[in-house]
Amino acid sequence: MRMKRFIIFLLLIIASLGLASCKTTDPTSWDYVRDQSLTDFAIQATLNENNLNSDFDVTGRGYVTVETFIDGDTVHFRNYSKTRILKVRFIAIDTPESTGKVEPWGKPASLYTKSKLEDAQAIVLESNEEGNPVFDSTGERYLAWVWYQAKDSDVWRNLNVEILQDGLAMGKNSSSNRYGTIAQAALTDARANDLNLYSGENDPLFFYGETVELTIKALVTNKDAYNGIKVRFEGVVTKVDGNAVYIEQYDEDANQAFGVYVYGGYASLAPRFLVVGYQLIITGTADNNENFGFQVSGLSFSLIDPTVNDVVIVAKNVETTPTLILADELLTNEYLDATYVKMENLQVVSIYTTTNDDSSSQGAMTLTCQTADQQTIIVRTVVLMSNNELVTEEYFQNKTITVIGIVNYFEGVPQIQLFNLNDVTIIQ
Amino acid sequence: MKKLFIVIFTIICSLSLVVLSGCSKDDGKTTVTFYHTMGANLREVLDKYIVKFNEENPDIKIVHEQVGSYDDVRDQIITELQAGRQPALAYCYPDHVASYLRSKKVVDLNEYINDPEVGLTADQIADFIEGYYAEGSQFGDDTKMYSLPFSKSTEVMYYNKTFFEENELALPTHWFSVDEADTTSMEYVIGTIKTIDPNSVPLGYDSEANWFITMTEQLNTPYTAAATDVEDRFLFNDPSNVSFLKKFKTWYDNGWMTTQLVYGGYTSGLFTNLKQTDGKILRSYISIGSSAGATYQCPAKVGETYPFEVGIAPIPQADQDNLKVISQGPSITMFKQKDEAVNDATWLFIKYLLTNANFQAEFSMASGYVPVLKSAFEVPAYIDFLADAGYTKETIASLSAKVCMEQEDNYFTSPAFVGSTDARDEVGQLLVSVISAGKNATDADINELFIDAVNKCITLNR
Repeated sequence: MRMKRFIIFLLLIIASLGLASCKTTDPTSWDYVRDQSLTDFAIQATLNENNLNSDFDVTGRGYVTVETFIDGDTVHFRNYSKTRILKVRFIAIDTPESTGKVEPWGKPASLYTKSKLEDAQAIVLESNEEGNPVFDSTGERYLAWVWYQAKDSDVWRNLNVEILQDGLAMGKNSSSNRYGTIAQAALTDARANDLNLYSGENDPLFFYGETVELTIKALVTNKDAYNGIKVRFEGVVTKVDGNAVYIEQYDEDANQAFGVYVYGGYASLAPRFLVVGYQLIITGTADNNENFGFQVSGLSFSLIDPTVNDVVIVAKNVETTPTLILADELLTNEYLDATYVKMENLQVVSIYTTTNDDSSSQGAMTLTCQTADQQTIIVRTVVLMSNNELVTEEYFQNKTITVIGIVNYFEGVPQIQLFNLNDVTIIQ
Repeated sequence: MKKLFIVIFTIICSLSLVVLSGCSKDDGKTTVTFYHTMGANLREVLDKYIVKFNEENPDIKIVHEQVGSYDDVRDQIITELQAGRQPALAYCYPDHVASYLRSKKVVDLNEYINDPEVGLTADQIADFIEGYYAEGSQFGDDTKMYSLPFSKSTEVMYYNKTFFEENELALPTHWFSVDEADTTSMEYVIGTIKTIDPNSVPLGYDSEANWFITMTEQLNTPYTAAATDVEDRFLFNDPSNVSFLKKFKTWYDNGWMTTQLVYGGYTSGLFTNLKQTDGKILRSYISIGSSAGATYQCPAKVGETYPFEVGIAPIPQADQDNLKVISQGPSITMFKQKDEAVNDATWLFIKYLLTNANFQAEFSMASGYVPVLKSAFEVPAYIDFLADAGYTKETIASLSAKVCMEQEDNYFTSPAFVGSTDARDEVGQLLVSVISAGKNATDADINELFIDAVNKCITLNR
């Protein structure tokens, strides 16, 4: 009898172990210890320490501090004089995606970069050509070599090379630059030693399991539970926002619509599928991203013999009607995020316009409004244009407006995001 | 009971091992490695057809990898060729193949193509668009085929259709004005645009190297030759070439045009820019770039509408009797492996992908490149795709494919030889150096830049 119990106990333990191996581990941490017997290419290059007390965007070198971690090969830094935020793409490397679209080894690469710079006592950016900081092909991100001194160390380590040597990136023109020989050697070494991306093994933080079919309500009311999981749901596109869309689905039990932000990426077929009024079946990866909020990404599209993972058009020209909501509902219902709503009779009491030259939102406005019962509602606009002219504060000053837009949250406060001047009606 | 325990324990352990060994590389299959530059969207298309390939060939395992950019693929393969660890299959450009040929490990695909059992039929060969197919035999011995075309693109001219229509501008069909009444030259059009919108830089051209090389093809002036002596390979220091670059310099000095290196990013950023600085928008109205990048040339919606429509036309020409546009896009090349079974499996995979009209059509729709097979243009979904051609982000890729396809008789490729990459890099840099030499630069200064560029190529290849 005792043996029987023991066998059952043993079975349960092994079964648990088996199940555990099918799940992703905590996607916010990844411990990697490099084999110390391997060559350390990251210290083979030497940083020229002259003129580091300067702005990288001016001189092509200088101390910086981290502003925002984006992914394995992109970080936003603040320059030495603290006057500008620099979007920086690491030269010579290309880590798998971990934002927008999540790819195997993308999260580990992202966490690796973060761990190195988070603990650094000093960070320096250096341009590829001395004194000549240049942008990448997007025209928005500086290309740079990123050097850092680890805590309690005065040795400058080249992070671009270090990421290559630990097998967390592909090369990106890795041999044709100022540290090309070292970068190429680091990459070759990582491949030869089967490290991480080149190991042929699964990424421990990537979800390889079965797709979970669910409603948008189930998804957005359990964001943490589905973080990193492949999901499939159905809904109607209510708004297009660049390469992304808002999709919502009405839930009878809750008597409300639930919405989700879906990132379509740069797939050339995406604009044919992600159209307002299209009812779609979406398969993608849920990502509760600290920079971009909750989103579903990693979509695929096909016009020939689509697979189960491709986006499916169920119907076209489905009517999309915004839900009329009151201030109380906006301020208290935590599940209105990403839904398509309408609010009436908002008195604009103050306006803030984004003026930062570096921001693509330059000219966008935040309207602080009051309802008839004196509740404060925030309305945020994109950069609004009318007949090719920028719409400025004057348009809204002291007006009472009715707006249609998408609910989102800024620093925990709900706001209505406007995408179009046509979605504003001036009441008086 | 003890025995029962041991049996159960053994079974469970064995089962666990089976489950855990799902990642094993040693599964008894013939493995074909394929290096490419495909991003996630294209890898998904490839994966889908690998599944179909495996239905017919279950004993072949395709392991494919995005190695980085085209140059990274080349550099990685050159490194691995030295160690004998090269992949079985790789994306390539002609100059890459020229570099690989020294290793004697590139497979002459004619050995397979002409094989009576596994080769290509006459119909399958005839299905390739001739110009693309011919690229594979341009390496000095036209009896040998060192690459096959995978997908193709060219350069096209994107223009702000709304602005052109509002201002009744004609599309430029050639570069330089013949006389004052010539309203269809690029020179006239960008000069006129600058007058209409002084804050603009009317023309952005993405690839400096492509521009220079295309001009030499259109004008039929010297560029390079696959000569034995290194001194005879780099021929681009020619008075006609100096002449066209000096004209471009004038355009640049007038604020009429820019390029990717000068602007500091793809010039599509300038073409689609809507951001105001001091109440003005710095933008271009013509952008010359890859036909595969059409969606990047469309502005984002402002609210529910696009701020302007984008038209696409062939790039201007120098001689209407000698129409030339550059051939871009990857081919694939095959490397010898010690195991003959791998070589044979690699060929089967090549044959599957490059004779499959559905794959060609689907890959083209996902990538923006155009198919290399004529039959792909008969796939119903691709016919529908092309029929959707329009002027906004949703439909611009179709329009681009159509314009690209219409020019397939005009495609050229430059001679590929060891050092041809250096020539390409140098003429691109030369164009930048000349146009940005300053308004006081003399003819002697410009001639000096040409001489330096040629000398650099020679030095690099001695």
